[in-house]
Amino acid sequence: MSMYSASMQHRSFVWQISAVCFFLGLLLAAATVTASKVTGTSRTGFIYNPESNNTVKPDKDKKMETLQEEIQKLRADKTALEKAASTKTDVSKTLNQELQETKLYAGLSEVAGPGAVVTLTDSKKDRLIGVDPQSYLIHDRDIRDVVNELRAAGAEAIVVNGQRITGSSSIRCAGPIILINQEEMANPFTIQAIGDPDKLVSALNIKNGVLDQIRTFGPDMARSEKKTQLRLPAYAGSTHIKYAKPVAPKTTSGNDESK
Amino acid sequence: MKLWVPPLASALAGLVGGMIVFTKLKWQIPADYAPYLSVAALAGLDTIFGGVRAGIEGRFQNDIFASGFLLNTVLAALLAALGDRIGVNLALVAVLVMGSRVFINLSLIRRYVLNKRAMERSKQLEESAAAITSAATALSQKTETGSSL
Repeated sequence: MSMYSASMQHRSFVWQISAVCFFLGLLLAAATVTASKVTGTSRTGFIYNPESNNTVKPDKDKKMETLQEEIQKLRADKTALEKAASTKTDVSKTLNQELQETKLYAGLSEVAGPGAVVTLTDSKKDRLIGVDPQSYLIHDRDIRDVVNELRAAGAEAIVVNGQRITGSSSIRCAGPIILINQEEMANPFTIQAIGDPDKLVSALNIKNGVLDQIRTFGPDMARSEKKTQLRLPAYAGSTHIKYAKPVAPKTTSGNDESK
Repeated sequence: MKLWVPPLASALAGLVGGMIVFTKLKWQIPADYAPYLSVAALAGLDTIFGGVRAGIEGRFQNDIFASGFLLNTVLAALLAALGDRIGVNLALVAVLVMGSRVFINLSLIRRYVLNKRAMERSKQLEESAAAITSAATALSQKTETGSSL
């Protein structure tokens, strides 16, 4: 008892502890502020967002956009001319029909019809410790899987974020962004497909299927819905073929060989 | 007023003051250092509780306290950083040791404060008992003298 009361009588240590408590307060505030920075939404900070980052290269994007619009307009004009030219004879009519079918198959014409829309977004849930943070993001692989599944389910035309998927399309990762037909895309991703809506949606939502696997790390990461009417743009990229040459039919003249 | 209220109030005032000053300064610390800072803060907390306990036990030494605060925080942060470099989570070691010490010190402080209260109460009881006995003796003496009269 004497030890206790003696110590409490001279209380110089109280002031020293209070002073050090000040520094502890600094330290605690620093720790909490910095820790909240880590657990906060900083993940989206490094993702290239075309909307928020318009100042970086607006000229190039604008130019690209107008050029692509021009390509689409010219191709539509071409189709109209083909149609006009084909009215004369049966042969040309048949040829044009075949040409339009090929163009439809190649994704070179604007199409409309029933289908499904899939939306893939990065998870907004807080990351769990021990889980790879990459699991909470949408990757190029996820989009490829969905496109693949849609094709397997009989989708006749597929568009990802406005880019028509054709036989020469590519979907690949480029760090924080995804390149679709060499165009830079960022979260979220909207995948539209024309086909049998019921078939498309049920194929996507098979248990342990594509969307189910993506939803493991956030139920709102993948959504799908049926649409009665969709309008999908034509492929606006280059159709230039440099190296592949069609094998010449047997009855060709010497003209091709001299080239 | 209770004996432990002013020291607690001043310590809390220091803590809150430090937090306010930090938020006002708007220092930016890279997010990579977050785990080290947390471990350092825990080490600081451990030193504070150790200091309070030493103060109550009457063996508080300011040089040991101040150097302990500085060195413990720095050492805990460095240990966590070293652990990250060599792939062993040494931050856990610091958390375990400091955390258990905080609990031990806190329980001892609680015991001292509660003992003190119990002692005060028993002292009061003794005093009132002594007063009663003295009153009783005085009364009995009075009655004795009264009866003799």
